[in-house]
Amino acid sequence: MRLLLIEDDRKTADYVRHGFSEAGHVCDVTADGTDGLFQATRETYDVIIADRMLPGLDGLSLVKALRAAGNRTPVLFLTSVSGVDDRVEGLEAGGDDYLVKPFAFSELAARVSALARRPAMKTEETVLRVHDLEMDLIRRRVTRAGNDIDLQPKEFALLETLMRAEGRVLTRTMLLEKVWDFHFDPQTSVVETHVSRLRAKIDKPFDVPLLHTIRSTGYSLHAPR
Amino acid sequence: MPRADLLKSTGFRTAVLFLSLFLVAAGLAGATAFFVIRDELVGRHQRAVADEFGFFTGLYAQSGESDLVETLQIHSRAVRNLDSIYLLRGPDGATMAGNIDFAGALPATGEASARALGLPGDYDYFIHSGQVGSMTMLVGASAEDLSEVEEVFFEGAFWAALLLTVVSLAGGAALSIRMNRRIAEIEDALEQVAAGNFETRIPGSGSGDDLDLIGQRIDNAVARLGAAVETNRQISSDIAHDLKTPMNRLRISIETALDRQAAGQPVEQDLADIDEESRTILATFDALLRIAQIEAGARKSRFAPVDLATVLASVTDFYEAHAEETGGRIETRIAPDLPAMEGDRELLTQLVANLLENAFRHAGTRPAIDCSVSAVDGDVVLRIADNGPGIPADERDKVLRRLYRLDKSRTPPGSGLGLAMVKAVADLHDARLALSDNDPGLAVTVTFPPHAIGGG
Repeated sequence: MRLLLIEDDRKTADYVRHGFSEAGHVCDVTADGTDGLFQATRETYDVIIADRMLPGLDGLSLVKALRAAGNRTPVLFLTSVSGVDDRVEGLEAGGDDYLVKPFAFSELAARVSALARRPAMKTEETVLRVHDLEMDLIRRRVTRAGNDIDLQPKEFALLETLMRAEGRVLTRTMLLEKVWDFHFDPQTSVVETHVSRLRAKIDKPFDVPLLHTIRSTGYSLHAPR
Repeated sequence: MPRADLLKSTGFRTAVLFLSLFLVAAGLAGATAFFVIRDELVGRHQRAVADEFGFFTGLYAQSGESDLVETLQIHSRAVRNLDSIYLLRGPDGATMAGNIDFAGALPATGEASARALGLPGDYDYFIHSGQVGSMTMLVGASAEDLSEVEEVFFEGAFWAALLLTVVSLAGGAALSIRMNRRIAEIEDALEQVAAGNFETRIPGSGSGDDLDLIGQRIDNAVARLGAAVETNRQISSDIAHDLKTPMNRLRISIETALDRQAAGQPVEQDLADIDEESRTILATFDALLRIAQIEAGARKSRFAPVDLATVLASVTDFYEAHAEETGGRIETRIAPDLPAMEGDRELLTQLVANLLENAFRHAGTRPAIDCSVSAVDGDVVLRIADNGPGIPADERDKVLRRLYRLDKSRTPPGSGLGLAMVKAVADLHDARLALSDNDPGLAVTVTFPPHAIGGG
């Protein structure tokens, strides 16, 4: 992946660039909004990570300018905790995702890779397949190896989210946002409960596990490798 | 701090001002009364001499010259102290009768000084003079009584004014000394408050006057300020306490990891512990900042019509699985035809979630949680009740505070911020939050007033 990070805080910038480099990605960094906009239009990136507060040009104006110029590169906003409420503003301006500082690198990486592959996932598929697991979105039926699996509506939504992100890690927070539209972190381990119930239905009766727990990060659904 | 100068004090100045006003008013009233009385007395004297003159003229017309002379002589003899004067002159100018020895030309009707009539005394006479047949006659009355009245009047006015001035100034001084003392008490109290002693109260006089009222107001303000400061102090020390423990655990984990690494042992588990611990700390900060942000009220601008029943349903749906896992149950009742309301759906979702989390955390084994949304008097009422141990009545206000926990050992899970967040969200929506006894357990009711469309 080729990423552009527009962040004026050196420590955060180094932390993020280092993390992505370790994972084998290229991460360009600029510390100024105007430079960032120039860089974003000159090169082609998979994802742009932009701080909301930047010298030169703030993140919001940067994305507006980018979108006005017809550039559709996914943008993830970073913001300080005190600006939690800016989320809606950021998304309205044309941002694609939002992450509050301080964040764990695994959370950022999961979100960035979700954004990088987003275009491929928004096709009008009616049947999702992962290994021998099938989801018919029209008839709302799930089968594995030909066996019907009965799911509650939210279990269905959870599985659909995991299947659409096949092979990628979805963090607890991402699941809360996508499946339940919760923009806060409940204290109790309810997500774990939901995942383990889903696992009991789609994995337990079968030999090959598809739903994997990625320690201290989240979950990933994929075929055996 | 400089103390008020007596002469500059409000009390004294007020006294002087009122004294001056009173003296001017009394002077004007006295002068008016004096002139009215004087006019009346003058009029009487003038009428009296005119009447007497008329009487003598009538007598002459009826009985002739000898009777007039005789009567005048009788009158003249009867008069003492020259209160009344009489003089009758013949056509040749010779005195025929009378009690004054005056050779000059007779003064005209009106007033004439005693000196002009060749008489002793420094007062005036009211004169009536004129022809009686071929003779000339003068009848006069002394105005000595008038002078006496004037003298009495001015003397009285002087003493009254003097007394009034002395009493007023003394009263004003006494009043301002008293006021200064009470103001000094207020100043002292405020200085104490400024020094951070919020227990200070202003000693009132007990009379319930304006200074007492001001004192009470200041006392109330200081009490509220003190409570706010105390809350902040409490929060700071709670934060310090709450973060000290995980920070300490963090440090121990790091030390252990360093030791193990030095010994060539794997440190993966220690790093995972460190990660977990730091997440907890960040979550606490996150929640604190979020509460502060909600309290700032900016999100009100993003209020939109929201269906609380849908919010409740989505949250209970999320926790349903958790309830089943723990052998408990959630029961939800939603009344039909709820009034429309406005709010922030995200925050309301969090409010309901926090209440459910709280209910689960304290309900113990086999939690039984009842949730409902109903309409009461046009308000939308959310009620969430559990079957846990409940909260003692005297603790119910405190649990809404940041980081406050019933269990003083602070060991049970939970950030101690859940209910504080609920309170912040309720306040943002102008909703009333009430904690009551579910017998057993805790019942939390949040009463949302209906928002005018476009308002809020």
